[in-house]
Amino acid sequence: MSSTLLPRVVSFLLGLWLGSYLPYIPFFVMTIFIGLAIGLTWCERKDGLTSQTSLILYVCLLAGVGFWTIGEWGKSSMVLLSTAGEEEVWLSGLVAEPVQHAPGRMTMLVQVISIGEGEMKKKVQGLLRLTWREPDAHVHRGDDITVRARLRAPFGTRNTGGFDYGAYLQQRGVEAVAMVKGPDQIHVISPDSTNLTALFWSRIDQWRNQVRQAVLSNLTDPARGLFLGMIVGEQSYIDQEVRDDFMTTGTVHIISISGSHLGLLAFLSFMSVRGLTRRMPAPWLERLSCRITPKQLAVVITLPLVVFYTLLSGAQVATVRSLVMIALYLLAVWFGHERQIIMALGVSVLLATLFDPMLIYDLSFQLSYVSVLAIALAIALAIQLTQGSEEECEDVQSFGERIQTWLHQYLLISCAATLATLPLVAYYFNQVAWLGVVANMAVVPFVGLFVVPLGLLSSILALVFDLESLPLAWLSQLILDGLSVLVHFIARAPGAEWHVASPAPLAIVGFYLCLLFVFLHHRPVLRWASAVILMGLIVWWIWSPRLIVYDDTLRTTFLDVGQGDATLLELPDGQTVLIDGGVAYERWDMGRMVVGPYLWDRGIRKIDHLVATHPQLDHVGGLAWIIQHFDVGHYWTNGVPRVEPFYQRLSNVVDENRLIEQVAWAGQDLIEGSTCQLRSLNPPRKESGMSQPFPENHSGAELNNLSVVLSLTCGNHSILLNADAEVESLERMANESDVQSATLVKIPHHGAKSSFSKDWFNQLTAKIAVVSAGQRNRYGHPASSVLKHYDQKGMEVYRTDRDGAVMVSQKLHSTETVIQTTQAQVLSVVDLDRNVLQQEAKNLRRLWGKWSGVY
Amino acid sequence: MTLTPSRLLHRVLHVLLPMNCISCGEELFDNPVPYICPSCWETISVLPDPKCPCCNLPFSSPSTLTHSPQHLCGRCRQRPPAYTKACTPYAYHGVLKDAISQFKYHGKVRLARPLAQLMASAWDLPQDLDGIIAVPLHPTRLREREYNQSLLLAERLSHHLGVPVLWNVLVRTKHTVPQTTLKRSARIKNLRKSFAVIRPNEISGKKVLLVDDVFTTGTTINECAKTLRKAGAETIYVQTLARMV
Repeated sequence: MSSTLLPRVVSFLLGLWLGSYLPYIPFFVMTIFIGLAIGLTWCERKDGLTSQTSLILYVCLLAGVGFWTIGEWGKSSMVLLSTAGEEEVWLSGLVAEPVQHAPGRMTMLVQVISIGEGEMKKKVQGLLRLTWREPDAHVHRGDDITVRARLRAPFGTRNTGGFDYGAYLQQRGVEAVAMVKGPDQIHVISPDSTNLTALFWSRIDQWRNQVRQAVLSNLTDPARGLFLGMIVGEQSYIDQEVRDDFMTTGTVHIISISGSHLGLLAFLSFMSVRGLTRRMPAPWLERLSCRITPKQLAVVITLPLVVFYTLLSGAQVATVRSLVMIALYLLAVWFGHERQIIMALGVSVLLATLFDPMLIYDLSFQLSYVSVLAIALAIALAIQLTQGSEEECEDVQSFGERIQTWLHQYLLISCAATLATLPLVAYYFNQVAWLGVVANMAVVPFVGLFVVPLGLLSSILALVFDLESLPLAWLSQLILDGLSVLVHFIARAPGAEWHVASPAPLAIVGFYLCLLFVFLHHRPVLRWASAVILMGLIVWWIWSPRLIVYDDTLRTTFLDVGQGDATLLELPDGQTVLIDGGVAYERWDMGRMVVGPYLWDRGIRKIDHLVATHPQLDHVGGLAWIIQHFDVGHYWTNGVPRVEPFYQRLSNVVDENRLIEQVAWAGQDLIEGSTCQLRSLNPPRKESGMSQPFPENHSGAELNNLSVVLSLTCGNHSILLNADAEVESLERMANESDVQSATLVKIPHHGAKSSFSKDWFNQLTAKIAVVSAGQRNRYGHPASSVLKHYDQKGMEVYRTDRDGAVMVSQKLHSTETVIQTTQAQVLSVVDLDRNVLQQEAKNLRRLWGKWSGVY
Repeated sequence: MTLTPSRLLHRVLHVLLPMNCISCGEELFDNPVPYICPSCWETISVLPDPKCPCCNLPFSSPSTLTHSPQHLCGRCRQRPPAYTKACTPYAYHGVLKDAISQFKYHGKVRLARPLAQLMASAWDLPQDLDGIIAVPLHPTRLREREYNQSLLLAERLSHHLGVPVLWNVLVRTKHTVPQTTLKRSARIKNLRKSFAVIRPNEISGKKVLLVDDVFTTGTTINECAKTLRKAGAETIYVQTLARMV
């Protein structure tokens, strides 16, 4: 029945998706179009699909392609950066989305209107992501702002299989980013009274601000962060550890505002209004129901409440998705139509993608729809099952039995949602949150029925009576702290935190096809076969074994950790060595964001040798997180302690994990094997003074000269890893045989001028050099004068700031070196003036690599 | 047919929330009556004459009333009903039965208007009435069902006739098992003394119209009429939507 819309929505989505590949693989996409047309004609003959239906489906497909393409054209102008140039400029624009707050900063998306001042003013259009650190004024959505800032292209770290923040921003249409710091940096003009939409959004943002201020002054962590996350949609106040607990227990969706919040709120409001109305005196009820029935009254009261919550929470994608679905459900109740969740789902997908087609690649969009679809199917299945059994026992169930059935259904729903989101969670977060099955059963109703209604009630009270403090704050504090303790407790279950490799996208597609077959197909043989495949995939993903296909290959990866260093060695015998782990600030931990996920993707859970070359933040910052989450064999350092907090954190973690710090003195063999040898060339052995902390205000050069320099020799290959060694230590090492025999050199100290030693350089015979540096870093690394030398020597230079991660594979018994870079795996738009087929073939190979997970 | 805003809304509604005809299951798109396709709706037709002049029971022989227009049916002769005259225009089966059941039990209150219109279009009673009274529900049942379907019909009918609804005059004092589950003899027993008039002065000496959805055996209607008569109502007309035949 009802299902005319759903296939059309699916084919529209398919169209959007194909449309997104059209510029890269035009011929292949065309072939798919033709194939689909033939397929539909075949279905027409075979299954009695009417030609009208198939025509409509095909038109929906083409509409999807067209819609995507038009959306892309609209964004292709990219004029902000070219107009602004490299210097600081004055610019003005409108705040386009709810302002996001975090401790000590706010972030806003600005629709830029003009750049420059006075006569030089130029009108431009484009989205800018502006961060204001240490702000001293409120900014709201819809405000007109003027600011002086230097624009930069959005950038992130580019690692194969990793998350690239820059690409993410660009996909969302953000052309540039900028940061200002300190008071009075942004001049704010509130919208004038004629601009009603701007006024509306500004008012909503002011409400959010008021609630946020009240929460900040009345609640303490962790309740504070959780309240802001769940009620106002401000994620950044939640402690990273609290978030990790929620992530581990599979309940992370409840600290952002998702369907369950809105749905349970709607349920609670609907049921209580309906129940209260039904209990009014009979004559009143009789009279009222002639105009509006209790059910309809409940709809009328619930709908504005959910809309209010959506607006207060900043109207994020997942929230609006649930709002659309709940609104449709309530409309169906009002009009007495059949209530079909799947239908409502289809409509809300359509509305969301028409609003922004890019959403199909949005993580929260995908997770949100997949889980709701799974829940809807599970409910349908549960109804099917109970209907089957009802025929046998006609009498009314006792209370106990009803609770039992209800629990069964609830468990089924929880299982379905966890199972359906498993591949996506594994893909994006490298985690299998299997505890979600149980944890959600406790946490979701608790949050939906107590936390959110209470939070909303106190927010509404604060807004209505214009209070500076949050009413009922003590109660919120109590139950939110309780929630965090509960989740923390569940997260400590043995094996709760289980990390896996990102599944290959093709396997994920296969997983969902099998899941659909299990749910929907009527032939038992196919159902069972799908179930078996499904189980196989899940076991494989959970196991996530290390795939050592070629046992004579040495793999070296220079990760892109921004400005910093992180190098992974995978030796032919299976041993792993990690040298440095990038920078770590409180919310920008390269160990967590880059190194950890990459290790998991490689199936690595144990690091045999972890080397902290020298205690500087950009080298060892991320290591603390790595030690906490991986099994570390040996821990090597240069033996220099420091007093700064980042070093304290690291040494605390080292102690907690009972690691013994070993110093990699020059001449020390870290690995002494038959195939490979890892030797230290620096720092020179010093028997005394190693327990003295390094002076705090000392120049970096001395510390850099004490970095652990390593040389790895495997068969015909030799890799020289120079850390941050500067001229002094380089000159000392210049005559080492390892320097001369190296076949691959990591350029010392991110390519800085102070680390170029002529003597040392002249000894090099390597053909390949790699430099690790951050995109547009403030030190100007790598120095062009240094790179010129390497160029003149005819060396191939790879740079993490341009190429992203650099992955080197070398076979032991040949001299061949295969180098791949993340940037080279990015699809490039086919240029129609050149050999199209050749470019397309290249893109297809990249796509195959991405989709099959074989790089 | 012009596309009025309400019709446009209606179409959008059907795209967003598709609905199948409650009777034939055909997907609905452009139907003036909610939930029912036009072709189903057209099958609802008035019961053919002749009918009992009192209780409106259709006679099987077409010539029953030709010679004696006041000829009553057997039941009315045996036990004269408490009401003056009843009008029960439609047969309770097929599409109408589906519609009434959806209207009554499944919250489809939007059917009140078209169903009341059906009643009005088959009008066979005097128009000079003093008030309209719906067969009441017991408060417990009212809370269960959330509305009184007869009152909904009465209310729409009152708009049409320009006659006021007499609110809260006739009430049900006993919570009884549903009549539909019982046989005729048990029905009478079931309903005994279950109605009461709480404000007799509003109906004493008045001409009132008693409205219900379905006339099955007439027991409920008759019990109500009796109670009204006792409270002093002068003339009691009965209008139901459908009749069990």
